[in-house]
Amino acid sequence: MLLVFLLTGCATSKWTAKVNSFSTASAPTLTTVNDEYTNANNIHIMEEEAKLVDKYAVSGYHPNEITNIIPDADLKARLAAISALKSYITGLDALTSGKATTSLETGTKATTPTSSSSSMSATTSWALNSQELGLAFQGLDQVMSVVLQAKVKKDLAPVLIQADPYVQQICTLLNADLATLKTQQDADYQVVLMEQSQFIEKNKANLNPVEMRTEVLKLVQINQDENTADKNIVSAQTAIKKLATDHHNLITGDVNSTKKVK
Amino acid sequence: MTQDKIASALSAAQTSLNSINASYWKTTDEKLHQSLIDLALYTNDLITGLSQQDLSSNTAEFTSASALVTKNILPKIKSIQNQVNTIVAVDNDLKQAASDMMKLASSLSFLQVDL
Repeated sequence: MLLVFLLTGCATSKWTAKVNSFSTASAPTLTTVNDEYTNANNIHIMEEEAKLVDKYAVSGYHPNEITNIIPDADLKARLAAISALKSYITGLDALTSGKATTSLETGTKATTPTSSSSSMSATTSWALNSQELGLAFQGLDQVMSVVLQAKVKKDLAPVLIQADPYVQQICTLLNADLATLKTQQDADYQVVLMEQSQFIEKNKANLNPVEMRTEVLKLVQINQDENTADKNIVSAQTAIKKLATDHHNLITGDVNSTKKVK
Repeated sequence: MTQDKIASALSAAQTSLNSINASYWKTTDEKLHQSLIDLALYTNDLITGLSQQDLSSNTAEFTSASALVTKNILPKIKSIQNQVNTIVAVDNDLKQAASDMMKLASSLSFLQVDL
């Protein structure tokens, strides 16, 4: 009976560790995806501003033509979905990592007998032995830990299963968004680069060597920024796909391990 | 326009812009540069319009999915958290009791010696 209890405790401990590992790894992914909306919008605004400068001589100043890459209402829906997913992952993290700080360490350290008090208690047959008492309560604490993990596993597993379709759907939608943002971002960088080149071409007679160097180096900087932005958005896509897969594997892995135990 | 058609148009516009961009860097002809820039700006506006349509077409799904997480999942997590907090509180009480009893044990040892 005790063996069964210990084995159950061991299995739940592994399970909660997996859930904890997933939640810890997944939280930064959502922050990264969130940032990608801002990053893609920033380069889009840069492109719109460059276009505004380009059109100024011909049609005047029209700041209202500068628009965000994604309308406010659409962005709000994305941020709400990311926020809901973050709350879910934070909740998982709190449930699976909360027990880590509840050992009896403080209690035992505060009253660990000194060598003199230990020898004194050894001479008194009826007095309570604090060392033995400490061990007894540590054992009880370990039992509480197993009870807690078993409860979390029992109650959380159905919630994970129920949440999985939503997690998959939101991740698929975010991934589709990232693909669209990447297309827009690539286009914006290409146009910004061409417009900077045009600026140099049109003004080369009026630029001194130092100014010319500065303007040409801006082309280099735009190219570098484009490469970085491209890598970041691809990384975000990979990370969001991994989040979806890891969440699903959490459930299928658990089902497989349960089958093995049976 | 359906989502597939938007995606297809977006892909075609992207290919066009890539070609315009490649042509731009191949030539040094200033007049040709200006024409290519105008064409690039027009194509980029087209990409922006299509991107926004593409993003907007998914907004309802985003709203629905996040509402389901908020309504169906988060309250359950909160409920489990409350139950876990109760167990942790009991464990904390036990810790306090352990600490108090061990202090008492030490006190009694000293008391025995004093007697």
